Amino acid sequence: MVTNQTERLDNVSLLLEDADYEIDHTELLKKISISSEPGQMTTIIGPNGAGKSTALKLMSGDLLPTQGSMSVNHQSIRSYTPKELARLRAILPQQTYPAFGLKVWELVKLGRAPFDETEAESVRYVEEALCSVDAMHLANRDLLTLSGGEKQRIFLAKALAQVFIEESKKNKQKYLLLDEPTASLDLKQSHVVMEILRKTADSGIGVLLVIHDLAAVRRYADTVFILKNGRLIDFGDPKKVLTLEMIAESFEIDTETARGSFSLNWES
Amino acid sequence: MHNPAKSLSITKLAEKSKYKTLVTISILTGISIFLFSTSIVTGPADISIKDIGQGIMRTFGADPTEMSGSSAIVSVIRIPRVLLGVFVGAALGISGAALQGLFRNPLVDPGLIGVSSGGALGASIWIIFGSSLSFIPEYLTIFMIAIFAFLGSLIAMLLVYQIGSRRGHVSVAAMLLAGIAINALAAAALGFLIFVSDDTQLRSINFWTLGSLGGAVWSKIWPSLLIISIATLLILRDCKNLNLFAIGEADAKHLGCDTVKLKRRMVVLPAMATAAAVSVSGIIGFIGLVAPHLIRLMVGADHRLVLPGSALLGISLILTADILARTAVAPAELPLGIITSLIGAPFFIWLLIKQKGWTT
Repeated sequence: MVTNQTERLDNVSLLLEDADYEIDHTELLKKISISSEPGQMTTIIGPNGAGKSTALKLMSGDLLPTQGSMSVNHQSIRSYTPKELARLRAILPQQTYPAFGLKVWELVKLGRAPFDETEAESVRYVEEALCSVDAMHLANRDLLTLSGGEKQRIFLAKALAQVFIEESKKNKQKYLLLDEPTASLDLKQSHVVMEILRKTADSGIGVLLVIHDLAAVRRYADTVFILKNGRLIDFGDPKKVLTLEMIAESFEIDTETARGSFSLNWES
Repeated sequence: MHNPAKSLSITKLAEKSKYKTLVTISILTGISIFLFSTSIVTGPADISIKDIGQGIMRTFGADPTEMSGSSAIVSVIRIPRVLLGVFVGAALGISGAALQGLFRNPLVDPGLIGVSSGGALGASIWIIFGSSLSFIPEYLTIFMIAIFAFLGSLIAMLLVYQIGSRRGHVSVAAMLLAGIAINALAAAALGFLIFVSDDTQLRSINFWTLGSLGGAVWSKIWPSLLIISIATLLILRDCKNLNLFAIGEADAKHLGCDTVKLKRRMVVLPAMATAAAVSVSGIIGFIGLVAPHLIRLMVGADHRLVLPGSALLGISLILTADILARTAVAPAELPLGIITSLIGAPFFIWLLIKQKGWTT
C-alpha cells in the first residue's frame, strides 16, 4: 500500500518508516509509515484507540519506535539533541498547561527559547506569531484569564513562533505537529485555526496533525493517513481517499451514518 | 495585517519587563546591603565606622597591632556571622525557588519536605559517630560535616521526589505527606542520637535543630560558603530552563530543554546548597517558602527574576530575623530558627487556606 516510499525519500521530511510500537507487550502500532513534508498539510485520522496520538509522539521524538525507523531530514531522530530537534519542529499537544503568572507574550516568547538570538529578534517573532493568530490585543493578558479558544490560539502562536524560518537560514525545513488542535473549539474557532495551519503549510512549513473533523481534512489537507487498530489502512489525497466506503470501513459505521456525519460542511 | 502601532507594544512590554527586573534586583540588593550594615553595627558592643573599616582590613589579613579592640569584634564575630547569614539566606531562598520550579508547585520548601532535617540528621550522625574516627585528617573533618549533611539532604530529596511524582506528574499531597514522614523519621533518629550523645554533642545537636548564625567561625564556615556559592551560581544558570519546565515537562522537552538532566540538577543542587547551609547554621525553616512567594507576588513568575530575587530576599529575611534574634531578648539570644518559623508557619497556613482549591 505504501507505494511511493522511495520517491518520498528523495525529499527532506519527517519520515516514520515501518514502525512498530509496543508497550507492556501490547502492540499499539504495527508497520506504520507516515511522512510529513515541508509545504504540505498532512493529517492522521482514525477511530479512538487507533494509535494516532502514539504515531504523532513517534514523529515528534517523544517516543522511540520499538521496530522500524524515524528520521528527520534524512537523519535518525536519535542523533538529534533535544535542542537541535526543537530548532526543527514545534509541537502543540492535546493538553496544555498555562503556568501560573505568565503573560501571553511571555508564553509565546518561550517558543523562541531554542534559538540563540537577540531579544529584539525574539520579540519580532513573537509579534509575528501573535499577529498571525490575530491575538495582539491579548498580548499583556494573564494566561489564566483567557477563554478556551483564545488559549488554544495563544499556544498555537507559541508553536508558530518556534517554527518561523529565520531569514538567515532560508533553506531550513521545519515542521509543526499538532494533536487535535481543534478538538475543544467551536465551528468558527476551528476554521480560524485550520485557516492558520493552511497558511503555515503554504509558507513552507510541514504541518502534521491528528484530527477528527473529516470535513476539515477534506477541505484543507493535502494528504491523509488513515489508522485503524494500530495499522495504516490507506493514505493519499483526501479527496480521493476519503470515500464514504473507506470512512464506513475505518470507523465501523454504515455508509448512511458516514454520509450523515459527514455531509455537514461538505464541500466540492 | 501588520499594524505598526500594535507591533510596537511587544517591544514595549519586553522593555518594561527588563526595566522591572533591573529595578527589582537593585532594590533588593540595596535592602540587603542596608541590612548587612545594620547587622554589623547591631550588638552589645558599640561599633564605630572606624572599627568597621579596621575590622574589614583585619579580615583581609592586615596587621592588627595598631587597631582598636572593637575591630577584632568586627572581624572575628560580626563579619563571619553576617556573611554566613548572607550565604545561608541566599542558599535557602534560591533552593526554595528551584524546588518550587522542579515540583511546579509553590508549596515546597527545603524544610517542609524534609531536605533540611535530612541534612541535620546527616550532620548529627557525623558528630556522634564520625568524630571518633581519628584516622581522618583535621582538614577533612570540617568538610565531613557538610558532606554528611549533603548525603542526608540528598536522600531526603530523592525520597520525596520518588514518592511525590508519578510519571512526571507531581502530587502535592503525596509530596507534603512524604515530607512529614521524612521529618518524623529524622526527628526520631535525632532523638535517638540525643539519647546516646554526651553533653557537648547534645549541645551541638540542639544547635542544629533550632538554627542559629551564632556558630560562625571562619575556620568552620568557609567550606559551606564555597559550596553555597557554587550551587547558587549553577542554579542561576538554569533560570531559562526552569521557565520552560514551568509549562510542563513534555513541552519543555519540545522546546529543547534536556529535562532529564535539568531534573537531576534541580534535585542535587538545592540539596547541596541547603545541606551546606544546614551544616553551619542548623535548620532555619520557611525562608525557602516565603522568599520565592513574595517575589512572585511582586514581580511575576519569570525565573530569571524569581531565582536571583529569592536569593536576595532570602538574605534580607534572614538578616532581619537575625537582628531580631539578637535584640529581642538581649543580652540573651533567641535561636534564629524559632523566629523564622514563627513568621513562616502562619504564612504557610495562609497559603494553604488561600489554595483551598487544590485537590491532587
